[in-house]
Amino acid sequence: MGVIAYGRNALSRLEEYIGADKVSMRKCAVLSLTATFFLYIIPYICGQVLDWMISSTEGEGQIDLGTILDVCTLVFLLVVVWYVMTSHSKQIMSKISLATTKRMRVEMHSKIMRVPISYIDEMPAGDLSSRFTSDLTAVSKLISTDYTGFVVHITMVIAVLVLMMFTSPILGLIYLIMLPLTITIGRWLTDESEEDFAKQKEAVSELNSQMSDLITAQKTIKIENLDESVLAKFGQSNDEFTKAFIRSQTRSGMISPLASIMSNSGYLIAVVLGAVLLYNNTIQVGMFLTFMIYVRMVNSPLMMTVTIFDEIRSEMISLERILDILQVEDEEVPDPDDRFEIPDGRATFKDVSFSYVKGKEVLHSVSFEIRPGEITAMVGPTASGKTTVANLLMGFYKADSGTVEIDGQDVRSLPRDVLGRSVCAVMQNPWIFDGTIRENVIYNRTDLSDEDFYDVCRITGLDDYVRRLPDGYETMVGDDMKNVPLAQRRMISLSRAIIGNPKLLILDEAVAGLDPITGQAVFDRLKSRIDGRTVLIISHNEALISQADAIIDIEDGRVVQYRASS
Amino acid sequence: MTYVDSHGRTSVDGVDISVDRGQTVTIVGMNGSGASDLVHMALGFSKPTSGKVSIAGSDVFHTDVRVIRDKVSYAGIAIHVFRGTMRYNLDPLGDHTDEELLDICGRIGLNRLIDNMPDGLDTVVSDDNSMMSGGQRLLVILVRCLLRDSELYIFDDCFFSLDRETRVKAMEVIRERCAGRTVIFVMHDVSTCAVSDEVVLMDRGKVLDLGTHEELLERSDLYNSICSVGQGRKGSWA
Repeated sequence: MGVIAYGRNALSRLEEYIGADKVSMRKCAVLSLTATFFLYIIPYICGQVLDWMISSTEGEGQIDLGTILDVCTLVFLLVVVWYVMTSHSKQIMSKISLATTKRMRVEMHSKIMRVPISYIDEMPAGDLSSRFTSDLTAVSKLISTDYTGFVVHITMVIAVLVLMMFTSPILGLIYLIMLPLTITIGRWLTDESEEDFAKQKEAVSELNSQMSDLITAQKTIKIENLDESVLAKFGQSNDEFTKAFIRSQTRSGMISPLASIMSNSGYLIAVVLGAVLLYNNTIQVGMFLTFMIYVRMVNSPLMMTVTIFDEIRSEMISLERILDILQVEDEEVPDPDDRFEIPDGRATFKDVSFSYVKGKEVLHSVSFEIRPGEITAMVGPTASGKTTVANLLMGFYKADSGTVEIDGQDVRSLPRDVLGRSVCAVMQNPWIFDGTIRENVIYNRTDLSDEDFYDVCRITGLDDYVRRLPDGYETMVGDDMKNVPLAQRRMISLSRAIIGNPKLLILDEAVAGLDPITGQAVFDRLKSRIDGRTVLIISHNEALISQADAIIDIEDGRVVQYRASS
Repeated sequence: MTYVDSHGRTSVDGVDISVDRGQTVTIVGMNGSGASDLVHMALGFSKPTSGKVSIAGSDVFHTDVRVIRDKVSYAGIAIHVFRGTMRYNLDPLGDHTDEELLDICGRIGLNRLIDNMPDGLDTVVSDDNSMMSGGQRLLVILVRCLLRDSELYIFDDCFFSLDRETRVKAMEVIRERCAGRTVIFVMHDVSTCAVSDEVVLMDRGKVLDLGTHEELLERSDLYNSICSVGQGRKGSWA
């Protein structure tokens, strides 16, 4: 009974997720089994009545119409009870499945906000998005339709099999012997196509990844004349997908016809054997007919079970992929707490070592202090670990050893909201969202006065740029390179950071890409507005560095020199 | 040649310049001077509102764009790092051997990154993972551009997140690989001007002046102020 074992395993995995509703779901299964039993007992009653009629006509030649009427009433009542029970159970199941799907969606979205950044770093973008789209859709279908369908149809099969045994134990036994054969053949095919299904899923994910890359890199592909080679590569992946798809579909497509052949031969065998038994008077006409009705009745739910099982198998792979994400351990985030306060943003690294990938350490036992009221420059060759310092200060990653402290408090122990309010960074490739320039600058500081707004935009030099645009601050921008030049994206991001009024401001190459005249002017205005804040600039710009109050030289993940202002 | 950008701003206004084959030219200007828009037109990305752009005698907008792009190599911040192996990102068409790739990477200072990667040239990188720093990302783009065999090389403001030492190395490799070819630098600073045959100074979409580094130093106030910012302090602005 491989199918049932697999099904039970799959469903128990799902039930585990469904949790508290599991009990009512099981009640539904019992309810639907009972209802099915009530419905399927009707042919048995009819068979009995038929046999009774035959035997009574043989004797006195009289049929009691009252008894027939009673039987009809009974059948009618059974149908009514079946209907009420089935619709009730379906209703409960639908409610549970809707609630579960909704919960899963919400959990997926909130989980992605809570997992460590390193987890998302490691996952290809297309893979992640296909888990959110096609996998989630598949699991919704699993919960809302296929799980219920599977339970309903398998209970039907069980009910009919039990009634078959009652009707004629001999024929029932023979039929039961036939059944494993059907299932074994089905299972063999299932196991074979299992692998194909996984391959097909992988191929889809790879295609999605390539698609998203194709779209974002479209300009690059055109500039570098890579159209043909990229399309050829895509075509190759597409071919692989096609092959995997055809293989899995061919194999799983064979399951239903085979099941149909098996059940029809079952019917044939039952007819022949039944006729023999009838001839020998081992079975009566009524019971024989009832049995044949059952053989026909079991057909459709049996086929449905096998078909749905097919679907469930591919959906289970999606479920696994989603549970994979949901089971990732949350990043440790302390609860919001008013006790934490960051008075001036003094940042201290104490023997900090860090690696993005295990075994590839990028910071080796780094110690330094960034003092408030000063501009500290962090200098070093490309890839010496400067941006990593910024990432650690913002609490994005956890240091392997040592502590990163802001005003004497471990960054990782600070609640997100406190950290978000107090530490602001303008990164090398700043984030611009779809909206107007004004919205991008103001972000969540809707209480900001116009005066302060323009003041900040003048500091960052954004105002000069915006004034030359016909729509000014109402110009629509987006997270799209060609719309806003990088230098201006940085100005928008810098304005947003200053408006947030952080205690610690980190500028990662924030004036890079600005011409010297504009850049120096921005720096001068920024310097006059420090007001006791802590400012860390990460830069290669020697002119800028020489104007900082303190300079930290970093090389190969080690602090090589600390130069305080003279 | 005139160009009105998507925001309705006239970013290139009546520019008329030509670059001779084999020349090295720096187009320098403040932010929003229109220098970048100018090279985007040369690549056929944006069409001038009026006027025409031709490369090697063929009009960019009336020739098969692939023929043009075959002759032009472009490096700039807008270039994408593909999700793929390091090897694919350096040499998408697979025209070069690993030795050639490692040689140029070694000279430009990218070898340290590759040595540190788990699978060397076979390591899968992308724009979303933290495998590379901003500077290394630019170096990958530079190497990809330099490995292409073209007639015109355009470097669009792509040195700013490189440290001085790496810049010097990059310039050396550029000089060597682009010898005899046409090179255009689009810059905000003057660091490439001294090695250029000609400097085009742009301001607000117009060509303000045109000449050698020395000539411009002599006669242009704007050029002088771009040069002098940061000087007198220690080091140059770049």
